[in-house]
Amino acid sequence: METLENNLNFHLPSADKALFRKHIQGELKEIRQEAAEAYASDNEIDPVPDSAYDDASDLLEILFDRHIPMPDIGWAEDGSLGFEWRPEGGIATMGIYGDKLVIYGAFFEEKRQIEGICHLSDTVMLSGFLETLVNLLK
Amino acid sequence: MSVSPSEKLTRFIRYSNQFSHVNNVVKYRAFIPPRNSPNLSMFRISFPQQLSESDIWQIGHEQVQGTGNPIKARADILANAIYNNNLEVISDEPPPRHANITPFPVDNKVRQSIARKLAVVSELVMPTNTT
Repeated sequence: METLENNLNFHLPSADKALFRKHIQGELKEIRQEAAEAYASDNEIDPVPDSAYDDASDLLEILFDRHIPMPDIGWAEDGSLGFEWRPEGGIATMGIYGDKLVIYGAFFEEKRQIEGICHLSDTVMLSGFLETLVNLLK
Repeated sequence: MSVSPSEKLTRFIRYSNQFSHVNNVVKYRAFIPPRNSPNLSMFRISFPQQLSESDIWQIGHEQVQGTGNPIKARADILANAIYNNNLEVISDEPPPRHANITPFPVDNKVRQSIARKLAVVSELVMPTNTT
């Protein structure tokens, strides 16, 4: 019994993560297709680089590990990928351009805001924003 | 020519990832112009007189949609919100009533900051069956 419990404890999170990875790869694939179609039909739109999808995938895994709700994800006309949450009366976003940098910010409670930019691997700076995000989304 | 802060502007939206009908919000991505453009295209809908809803949508269909992606929604916003972000709204005709929010800075961090603030104060308007 103990072995079974241990096995379950060990395997369930892995299974969750595998499902999550499958889900985000599917979502990013759809976004990639939408962005490519938009770029093909409008020469003013900047293409989203492949590296931005890789960075988005990495960032989504970080969000998953921190138990942060999935953001709305989409491409922007400047060739970035944007994550967006809309807590009551505010907005929080993370933008990715494929250069391993994350541009983050939140605007809430009538003009209170935080914003910054950090490397994807800068866990200290990223953690600070993610803590704010968790509080905003409570 | 600058636009009065009290004027209402609209940005026509052609891509479904720039708004949420379910949550009734305009996404911040709707307010980010292409990388090398300092301008974000808008239309003046309350000057010299307030346009009817059908007239507003007609502008979108004729001046923005063209033969490309259909207009899916629009983001209405007061010019004052633009000025509050240290940007200008400059009339840029033709086409009639066209204006640009300008100059969007080159810095992506600043652009994203502006886009967040504009998205929060903008109003999502969906097409009606009669338009």
